[in-house]
Amino acid sequence: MDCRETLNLIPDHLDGTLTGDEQAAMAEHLAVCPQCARQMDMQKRLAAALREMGREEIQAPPELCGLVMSKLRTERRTMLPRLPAAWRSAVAAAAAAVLIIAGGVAGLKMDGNGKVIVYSPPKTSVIDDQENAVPSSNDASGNDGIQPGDSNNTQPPGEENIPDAGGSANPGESEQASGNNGPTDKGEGRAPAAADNKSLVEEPHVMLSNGINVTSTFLKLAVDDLAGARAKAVTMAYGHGAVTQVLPEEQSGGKKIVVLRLTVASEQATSLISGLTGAGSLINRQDEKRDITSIYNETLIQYNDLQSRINSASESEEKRQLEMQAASYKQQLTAWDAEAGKRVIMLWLESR
Amino acid sequence: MNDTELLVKRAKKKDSSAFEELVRIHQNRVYALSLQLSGNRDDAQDLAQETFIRAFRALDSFRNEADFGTWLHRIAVNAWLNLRRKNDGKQTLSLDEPYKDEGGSEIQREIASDDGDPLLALEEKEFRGLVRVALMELSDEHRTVLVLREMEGYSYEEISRMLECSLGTVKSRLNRAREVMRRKIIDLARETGEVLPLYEGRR
Repeated sequence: MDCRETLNLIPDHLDGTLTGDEQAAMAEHLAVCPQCARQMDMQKRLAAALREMGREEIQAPPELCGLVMSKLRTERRTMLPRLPAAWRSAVAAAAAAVLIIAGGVAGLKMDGNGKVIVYSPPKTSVIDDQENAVPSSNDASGNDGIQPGDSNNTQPPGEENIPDAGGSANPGESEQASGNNGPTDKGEGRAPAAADNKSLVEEPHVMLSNGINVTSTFLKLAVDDLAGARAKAVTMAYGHGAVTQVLPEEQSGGKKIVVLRLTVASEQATSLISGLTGAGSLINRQDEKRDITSIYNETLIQYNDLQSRINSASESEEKRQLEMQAASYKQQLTAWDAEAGKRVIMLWLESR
Repeated sequence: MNDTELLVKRAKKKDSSAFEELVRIHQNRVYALSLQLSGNRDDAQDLAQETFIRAFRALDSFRNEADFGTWLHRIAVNAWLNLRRKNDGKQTLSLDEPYKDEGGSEIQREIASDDGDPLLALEEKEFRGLVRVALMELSDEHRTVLVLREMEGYSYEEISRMLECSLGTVKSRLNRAREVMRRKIIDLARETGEVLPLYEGRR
């Protein structure tokens, strides 16, 4: 075996795929050829070094997961009115989250039988006693949906997401929350094909003449093992056929907090709640029943408005943006459809 | 049904907490590959995030028989190469052409220039430092095959699937990569021996 052949066979030697004869011939050559021997040695050393480097235990940065989830959610959000920065604290957010479904009502007028809606664009934030505020403008700068905890711009990376406690009011979230309930929307690419007038006719959402209510239960528990309790809660929820949303860990006053948002059929609610209550010491419980008729209708109006704007839009970029917004609204409406008649449980777990 | 299978099943239905759990489970592996491919933490973060986001969108195409971690790696590699192509990666070295010196036969030339071994004296730690530097100087495609084969331990078949090229291409690219690495490490070692700052005068 000469130099050329030897060098060509180095990779196979490293792979361990040389035949016995080849091995022997190579060894013979290496014994007498220092240059080839050096090359072989180097390649072995290189392979070993790379292997060692590959074995290093590399840890992902802790914020990675949160960033991924927030980006996934952000992709779905578009122009729904945003809530003010006062919502940033975990406490306000979680408390408000229970009530988020009702959102705020801004300037919606209804006539006597509740069927016809006269839409007047809301002017300023309306603040109800829970500090829900729905700012009026529907501008095109990527404002986020009706949820607490947002900063003034589009969700900055890394700012984590008690906002998604307001999942049902967040069009993006709602798609995930309602995933088990059957809407066939998959992934964020599926804006409604709103290019033609037909889509308006296909609109499945009807103006609500009767109120729709969502019942929420806010459960606050103190636990020893936060991760364990979280896992237990998720399992229990799954066992009751609930859809679960786990919000990232937060810190508040030195305590670690995990919030879960569970959506479950009413008939399962009691059983699930008592199960969950057993997972820790109950600090607080609040039950709430909210009428989301108005906010639902308002959203629906905005959705229809978007649809007509889409139909008349000529520029494709603008159209695409509008379609994305419309998709968000649709998801929100679908989520509300799904949640009507179900029980939403906000489970707040805090470490002792 | 094991954990990952169950989680994937739920994640496919857009259960975000299931997907989040999948992220938690696999993030170290994905980040590790991202770091190996890109060589710096910022790009690795971006790449890792991009990988998971693409994975979520592509969930429907994942069949449960495959390995989820490997599937994620495949997405990462793809994302990385697309990213680099878009940014017109700084590497100008042509991938699969024979590595040539100024003239003469490839192999003979290289042997001749292997005078005295500056590497003999190098300790493992120093050697590995040179390897790291050299690795980052490789073209993206060379680095990718080397990382996938030597660091991640993927088979030639798996690599050819990931890169969507033939087995032969994988092997020859790998050989080139090894040879380029060898040259670079030698050059770096020499320069280090002459007490030159490692990054100056890089071609």
